[in-house]
Amino acid sequence: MIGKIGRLIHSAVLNALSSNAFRIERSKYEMLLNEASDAIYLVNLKGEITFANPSAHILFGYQDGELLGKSIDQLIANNTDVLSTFSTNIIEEKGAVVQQEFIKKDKSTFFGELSVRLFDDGSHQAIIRDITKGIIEQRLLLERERKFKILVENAFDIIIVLSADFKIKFVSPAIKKILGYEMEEVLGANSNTFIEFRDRVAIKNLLKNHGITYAINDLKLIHKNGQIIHSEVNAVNFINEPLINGIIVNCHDISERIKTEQQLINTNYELDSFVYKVSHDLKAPLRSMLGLINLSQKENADDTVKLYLDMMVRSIHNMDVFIKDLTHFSRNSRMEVVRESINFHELVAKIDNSLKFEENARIIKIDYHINQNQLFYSDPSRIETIVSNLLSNACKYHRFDSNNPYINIKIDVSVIKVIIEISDNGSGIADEYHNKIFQMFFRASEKSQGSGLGLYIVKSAIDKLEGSITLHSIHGKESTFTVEVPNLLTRQ
Amino acid sequence: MAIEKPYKKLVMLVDDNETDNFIHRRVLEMGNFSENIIVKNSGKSALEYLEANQSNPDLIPEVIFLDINMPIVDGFVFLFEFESFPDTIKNHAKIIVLSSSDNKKDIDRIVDNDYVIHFITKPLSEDSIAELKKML
Repeated sequence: MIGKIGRLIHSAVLNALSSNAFRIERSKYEMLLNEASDAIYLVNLKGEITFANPSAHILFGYQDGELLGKSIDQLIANNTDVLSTFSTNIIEEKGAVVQQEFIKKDKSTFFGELSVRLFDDGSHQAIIRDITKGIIEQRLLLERERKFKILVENAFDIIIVLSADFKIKFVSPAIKKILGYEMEEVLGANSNTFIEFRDRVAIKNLLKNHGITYAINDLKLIHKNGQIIHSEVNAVNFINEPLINGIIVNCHDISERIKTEQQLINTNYELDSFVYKVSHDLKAPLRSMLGLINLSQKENADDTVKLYLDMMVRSIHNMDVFIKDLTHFSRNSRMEVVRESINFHELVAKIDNSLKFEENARIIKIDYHINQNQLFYSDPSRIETIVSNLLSNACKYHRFDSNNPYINIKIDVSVIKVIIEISDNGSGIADEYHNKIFQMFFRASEKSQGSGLGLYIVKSAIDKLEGSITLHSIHGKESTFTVEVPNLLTRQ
Repeated sequence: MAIEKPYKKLVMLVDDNETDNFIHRRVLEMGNFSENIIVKNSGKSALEYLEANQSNPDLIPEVIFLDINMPIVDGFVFLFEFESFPDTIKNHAKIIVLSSSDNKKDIDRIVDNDYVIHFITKPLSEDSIAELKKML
């Protein structure tokens, strides 16, 4: 109904316009349109452009007159019918202003501010202003803002802005993860509340100079639960900068670093202890030898000098053994596990042979029971170290007050592991030392002439092979060491 | 030539190292330092001996040569236990520490002890014996 009347009015207007009286008005109108810098076009209800001014042609990149008859769809970036989008607005108010993306002749797009005026016959007039630049800047700004927000919210560091009197104006979400507080809890609070009191004086320096970054290497912050959190703090005073009007502080959690530093200090300390012990244990036999040489120099009797020389040999031998132990220890901790077939009969024969250098071995009855009916794969040198150390200990610390000192070695090989049991009726080990004997340099017996490294090396080798060792012992009576080592037969 | 009277009547050597005990005993004998020498090869047996003979001054050594580096009851533990001995022992026995350590920190720590009168780096020699005779 509106359409019919509209058309009637429209044609009446046109008729009126076509009369001379209005010819002048029309030409003035046309002049306005043609000289307007904004793009202006008229669209009929079929969506066809019935008029477009020169600015419109320029804006859309068309030649003069090309736009006439074109469908408005070709100029608009998305497919929605422009009019239907604004229909409610337009029917009520007859016009609307929106931002819309348009397409040029070369298919490039731009943003325009579109002002639409609907006529009763269904046609509309549009005025378009190119606001691309503005839109782009707006979008960039929004993007930057969003990026910044994401950065700040997800930063692992706590970002804080303090006022000149050290109250918290702004804080990033990281404060929850690092110090356990919700952001709302700390806003407005004095930052000193969260700093360990002895460190509070450090932040006073921040007020001194504008724009210079201050770094505090290790500031102790206080977690909500009272725990101290070590952090590295960087702060810049921007109080005089109107945009910020505060001190920007960045707190980086260095708990991991502090832990590593402590570990390093511990390791260095262990190393120092080790070096000290080693140098001491190497010096001792040298000093003994020096003493013996001094005595020899004053001695005339050949026999006595010979005795001294023998004793010197013993000192040298002790050093030799100690150095060998050290080398084993170092090699064991560094070398990869070797996987080779081991024949325990051969291994035991080899060790037994080297026992003849062990003083007490002659008087002790040593028995071997080896049960190996299948292949056993492991690290030969480590297995040898384990067995020979345990065996030589059993010899060294035996008791000779019993009338039949013995050492029994039992070896049982299965598909999954080997069980090596070395038992003796020697001095035994007191209960309170059962845990300590595997410590480096620990010697459980007053009779010990050794380095204190033997069982430490055994334990290290067993650990490396992922085996286990247990001790059953009665002080003054007997000891049994039971070692289990996995069979690497099935592993590559 | 008149035989010089031994400087002391009874001294004790405490060291877990057989060789060192042997050497020190020889040096003491050659220097005519003491009539009698007791050798203990552990801190523990040395403490036990002193405790057992505390009421018998004749059996308490006048000088104890003490090694530091021994298993379980080392020199420091010995000194610690020694402090709680009765005065009959503490006033009678003087302790000289004999150690292969020449580490200043060790030496300072030991010499601090009220009952240690001297520190000698091993091995015990004629010269150090002569020096001791002057000191004591």
